[in-house]
Amino acid sequence: MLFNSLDFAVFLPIVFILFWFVTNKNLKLQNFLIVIASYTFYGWWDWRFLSLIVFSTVVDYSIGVLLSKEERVLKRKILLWTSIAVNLGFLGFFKYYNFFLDNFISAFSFFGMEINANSLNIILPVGISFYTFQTLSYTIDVYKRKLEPTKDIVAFSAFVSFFPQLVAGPIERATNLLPQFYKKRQFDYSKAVDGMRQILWGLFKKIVIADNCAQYANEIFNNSADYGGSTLVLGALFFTFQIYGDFSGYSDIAIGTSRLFGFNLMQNFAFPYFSRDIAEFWRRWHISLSTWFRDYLYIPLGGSRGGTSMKIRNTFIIFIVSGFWHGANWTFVIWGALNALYFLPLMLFNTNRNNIGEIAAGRSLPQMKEFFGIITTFTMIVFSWIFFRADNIMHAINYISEIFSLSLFEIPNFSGRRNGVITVFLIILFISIEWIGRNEQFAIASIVKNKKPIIRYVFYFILIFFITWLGGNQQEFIYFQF
Amino acid sequence: MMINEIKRFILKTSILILSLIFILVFLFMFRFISTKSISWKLPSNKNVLFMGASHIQRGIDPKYYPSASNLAAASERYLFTYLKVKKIVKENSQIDTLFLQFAPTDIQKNTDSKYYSKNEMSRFLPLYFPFLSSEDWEIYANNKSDALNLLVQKVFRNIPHNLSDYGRYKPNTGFFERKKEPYIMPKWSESGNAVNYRYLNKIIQICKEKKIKLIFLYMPMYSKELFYDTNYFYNIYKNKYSDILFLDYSDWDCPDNFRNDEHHLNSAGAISFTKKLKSDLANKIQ
Repeated sequence: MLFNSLDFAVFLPIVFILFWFVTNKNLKLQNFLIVIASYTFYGWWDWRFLSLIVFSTVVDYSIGVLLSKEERVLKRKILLWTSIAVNLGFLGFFKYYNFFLDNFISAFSFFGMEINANSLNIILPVGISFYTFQTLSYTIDVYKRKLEPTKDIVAFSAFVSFFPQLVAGPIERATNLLPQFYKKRQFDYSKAVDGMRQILWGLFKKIVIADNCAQYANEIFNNSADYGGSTLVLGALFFTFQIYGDFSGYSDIAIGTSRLFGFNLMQNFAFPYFSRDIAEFWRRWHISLSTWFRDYLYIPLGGSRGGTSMKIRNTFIIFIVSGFWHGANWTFVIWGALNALYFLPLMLFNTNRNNIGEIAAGRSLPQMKEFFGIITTFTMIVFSWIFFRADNIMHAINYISEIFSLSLFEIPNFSGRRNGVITVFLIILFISIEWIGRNEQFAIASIVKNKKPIIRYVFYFILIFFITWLGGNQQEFIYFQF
Repeated sequence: MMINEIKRFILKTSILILSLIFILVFLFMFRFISTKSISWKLPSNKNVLFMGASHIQRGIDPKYYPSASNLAAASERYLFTYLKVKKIVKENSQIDTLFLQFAPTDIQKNTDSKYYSKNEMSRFLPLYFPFLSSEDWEIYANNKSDALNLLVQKVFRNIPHNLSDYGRYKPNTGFFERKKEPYIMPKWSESGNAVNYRYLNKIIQICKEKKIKLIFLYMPMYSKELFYDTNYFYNIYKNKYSDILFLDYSDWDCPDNFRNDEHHLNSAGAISFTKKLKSDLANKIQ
């Protein structure tokens, strides 16, 4: 079920009413309702893959229970690795099987050995990368004794499958989300209203910004050989805002929806395109995944402790794995490696925590130095997105080489340019609103805060008007494919 | 206390949603009324119609066929052509000839898939929803929520003002270049063609009733056998529609600079082809 569909518009009020009026007296029943609602939400897409979620839930729940009874280090390790093997095994099979097979065949044929192996027609279950990492966080935290294993399978099932964030995150930590299923939820009016605002803003980002940008990004990337450098730059910019609007829009809707049910999810995007350096960008982009890799991969590998070579190795590992997490394609690996290259100088010169405060704190515009940092970082990010979006490495290389040609100085020209200009104006409006609200959880929170009801309602209607009228053709959320 | 808070929340949200629904209903009504009030009247000297999808839309230049109107629209399926024909013949008794696009894209095994692709639904449903009967709506029985979503999304957009919003000559300005690498025959799925055939039969029926000469027209294209199962196509004509005159210009020998791509003529090609068609028809009549 898509958030931007009528199905969800019917589903959400039904679950809301059942949650607060029918099951509110009994915590277990309320959690059970969440499980049923979440399975319905997921099964709407393809019910067959529900079995994967159920299996993953049962395995990790059982391992958690066994870990609570087991004191021997070796046995505990075996249990942990069983969970890792099961979860990553599913992920590896569904997401990476064909990739590895094709690459093995290519590698062997390079050495003159022909191998006959058939690719499988595998459908990638929606959200598998997200819920797999979420359940893994549980087992690892239980193993490390940071979290008491749960004895409540209903609460655990609800934690694994919680529908607002099941298919595209934020990837919640068990330490944050699971305890919220143990205590009675209290309806908080202001939190729920804030949730609705965040949903509205998420829909604006997705339908108005991402779906409009997608039309032009797709046109330009799919026909890149026909376009000159300036148009290709514009294509990369369209994709830059498409992926941000799409993914952060989803996160906003997920967080907002959770608030309606009294849950708090972690912030997943904190205005990343205003980052003053690449380290800050990675503290603001897909925060739930970046911190997951930091806590469960980077730090266990030694983090930034140890010598220079260790630091370089760990930085490359975390960025490349993060790239590979996005999909089974070398383009994602290059994208990850490129970001590692961006990040490395900051880490080696120990300047990666130079920009941790508010952006343009206390001012309406950034200082010259900040502005320069924002523009430089943004340019580097746009460049790296070309690899992320390209079909393959050759496509990316051809795309980039055309950008660095004389055609860069031509006036951009692409099919649908007239409507494209409207999209550019929408992006400018979007950036302006984001800038105004950059210190809040989501951009419009500050715009409506403490305003008269009439102003708030006019603002909501304007947003809805934009969503209805200026929305692009409905596209699936990009991150569903990851 | 908590229940009161929830009720307050629901009340306020409902007010917002109800006012939105009210606005939406108002907009639908506006669109409905304005679409219904469009005049389908053609100038009295126009007695020939060209209808169908992009092949005709791009390939017949009515300037060179003064008694004809080109009302074709890209990707149009026969349901929408049928609705258009019904409207036009009702208001234009002078119509005596209808050239209808009849090409593998309209006849092949998966031709119905275009009814359900979001791109086509979002173009055609907002234009035609006031004219759809309950039988027509049944086509979308399995895509109700997509159809409704798209209608809501497009309610403000491209509100039709006149007949030309339903189809008109749109010249192509590109030039065709033959591919250097060999063509690979696309894999056409067998997702069905029953709906399109049903409405083709309805067009045939209405032409019979109104005594309009119906002519199937297969527009020029580049090496059709590279793209379609031509045997299937010609067998369908032979077995189902052989009583209808079929003008097959698919092999018309035209230079590459008359083409926009493999399937469509460009503006120069459209002029040349329209003249050729007109002169062929005149010769036949003589």
